[in-house]
Amino acid sequence: VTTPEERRLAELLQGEAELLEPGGSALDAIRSGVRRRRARRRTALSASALGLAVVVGASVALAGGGTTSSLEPAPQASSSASATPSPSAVPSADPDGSTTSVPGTPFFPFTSDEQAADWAAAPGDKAWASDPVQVAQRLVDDLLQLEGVEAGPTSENGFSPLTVGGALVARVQLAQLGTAPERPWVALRVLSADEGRLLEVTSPLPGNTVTGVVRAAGTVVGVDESVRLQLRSAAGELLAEESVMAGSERPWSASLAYTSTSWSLGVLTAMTSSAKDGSVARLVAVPVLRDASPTREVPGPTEAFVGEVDGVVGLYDATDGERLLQVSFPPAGYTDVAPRRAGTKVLWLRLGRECSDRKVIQRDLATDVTATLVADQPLVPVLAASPDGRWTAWALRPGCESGETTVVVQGPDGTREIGFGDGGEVSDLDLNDDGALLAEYAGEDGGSMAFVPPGSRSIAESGFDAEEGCLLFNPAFLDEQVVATEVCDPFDGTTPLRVVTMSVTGERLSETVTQLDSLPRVATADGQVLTQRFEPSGAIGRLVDGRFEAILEQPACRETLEAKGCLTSVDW
Amino acid sequence: MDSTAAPVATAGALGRGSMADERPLTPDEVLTALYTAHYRGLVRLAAFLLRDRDSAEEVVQDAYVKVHGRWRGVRDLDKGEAYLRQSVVNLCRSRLRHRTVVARHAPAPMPDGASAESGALDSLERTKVVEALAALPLRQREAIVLRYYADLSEAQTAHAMGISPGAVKSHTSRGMAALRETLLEEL
Repeated sequence: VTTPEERRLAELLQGEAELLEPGGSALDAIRSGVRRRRARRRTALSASALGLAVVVGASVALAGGGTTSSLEPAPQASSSASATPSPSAVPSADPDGSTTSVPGTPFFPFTSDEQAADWAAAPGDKAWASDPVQVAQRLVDDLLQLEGVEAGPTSENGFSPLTVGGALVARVQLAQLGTAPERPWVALRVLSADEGRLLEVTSPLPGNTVTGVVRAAGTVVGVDESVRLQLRSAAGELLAEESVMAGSERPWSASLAYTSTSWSLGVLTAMTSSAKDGSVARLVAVPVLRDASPTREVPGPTEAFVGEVDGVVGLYDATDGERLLQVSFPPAGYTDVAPRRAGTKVLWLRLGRECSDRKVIQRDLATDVTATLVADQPLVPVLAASPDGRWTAWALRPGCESGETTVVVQGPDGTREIGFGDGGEVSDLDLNDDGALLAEYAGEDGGSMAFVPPGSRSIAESGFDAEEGCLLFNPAFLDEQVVATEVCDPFDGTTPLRVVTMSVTGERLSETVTQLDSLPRVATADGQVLTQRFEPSGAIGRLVDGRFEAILEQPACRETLEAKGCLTSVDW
Repeated sequence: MDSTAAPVATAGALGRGSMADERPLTPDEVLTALYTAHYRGLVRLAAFLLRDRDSAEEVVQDAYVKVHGRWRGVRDLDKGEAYLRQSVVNLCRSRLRHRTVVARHAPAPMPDGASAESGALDSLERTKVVEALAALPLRQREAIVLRYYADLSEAQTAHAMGISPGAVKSHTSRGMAALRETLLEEL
């Protein structure tokens, strides 16, 4: 609206419109309409349920009839007693793989016979290691960094009592390490005052291996007890911290995710505090080993897919939808969304409470047990990664809710920014292995889908026109071509969706009428199209010649994928 | 037209200061947000196309009901607005086709008579423009109303009408020429 004539017309139309004030109870009328429509749909669905069950059953039978994946599940990013048995036998392994001469896992101040031998030759500044009481005291002072805890004389079987104001809070199990005549004392674990009945850690057990996160669990005697958990490296660095409420009727559990990889042996402490003065009331400490395996086998893109459930990203088996691996561990107050699979890498967005608090995070399942930060900017919640993982794209909007949207493409040739104009809304992105970008957007300069060639910084005239009365959504590269979902009039879920294949210049090559009746997310890999239908089953599946083949049914997610426990945002 | 919906369909986008700010909205929360932000504007838009206030309200309510079933797939509120607008335009077309076939009755006029505050000349001019608009072919009327009343870009208008941006340009241009001709120098 730029000319005086256009401005005057706009003013007159606005003035005329303002004379009309709609009635006040329309929202109730709409809600009634929604209820009536749902009731009609339920009736229709129950009539077709038998037919659907037959189709789904056939799909599942076909999937089950094939060979099962020979690949091992991805590394479990958790620790549990069942996953990694506690090394209870003698000798035990130290973090370097060598053996030690004591039962259990020595974690303070020495961890191996070799270190003990070095100490025997030259105690240096650790001469105090010859005295078990001093070892116990230094453990609480230097490693666990607790105040007001006093270590007492060691019993015959190697336990040193820890007291606070004269009250027993825990006992340190000690042993002499090494084979030299002069052997240092080391701590093996810290037990609650009465053999674990007051406070117990049931997982991890001493010497368990952890990968990316420590999944801790245990029991506590009491009603509403706050159990404080800390994960520290053997050098005393605080790696993760968490508090949980628990009681006699309610065992506690918590996940402590760590990001540091500069440790190989650490200690998990659980403690309760005095309600009176906050001093330590009960204490348990368990040594754990960090799994630093250099590489792991990761299921291929058509064998596993990524998705999000309740703000947590996971890797799922493409034959039965079982979760193979928890990929992301969002801290409290954060939600992880929009996961994208790229080779062995998984990228996702971490949304904080504020629009400006959004991050792009990446984890390489093959090499890194920890996630790394890719970008920390005011992001529009869309993300893309090329299949080979070399290219990544995300969208920035410095004003969060307004202002110019810029898509950042990061790859082997550096970073390039593509402007989508002031007010341009970017709602979906995809990348191919050449670094070309597809974007679904709406902007002042027209177009709803753009193809941006490799190296280009401008939105090309892509010619991705929908048929008359239709709209195109979810563009994705499929080999050398582009696929998108076309929704046609009427836009009320009664018309099947079409998957349209086009050249990158917008030439229509084929179109397939699907069984889908609502807009899915479309993802592609190895010539396959993965999708998710929201009705009637909330299922995840493949589109094969327009036919939906279910991988995972989600009956509880039929009405809304916002329900707890619903898997969504899938990507190959 | 009102356009105050936040772009991300999360509770946080509605300004709720809780830890669950970034959780996706429930369909009813989306409904309420889209109703609050766009209902009045959409009724006015439909009224321009239908020249009938009651029908306009019915059509917009139908659009909300129909689009509600698809909101779980809508990832942001702006897209929800676009769906609604598209649905309103389509339902208006259906309603007009129905009218043409079933009865050739004169559509009920828009609420007429300017308010006391409005100038008499403005009122007269508006009436002439609205009458001239009503005489335009449907696609031209849609393009003019979406561009100049709803203040949409050519791309957004193209989405709402389900046609290409080039066709929007063409319909708008022809519509403006027709209005100019009808109103002579009124604009």
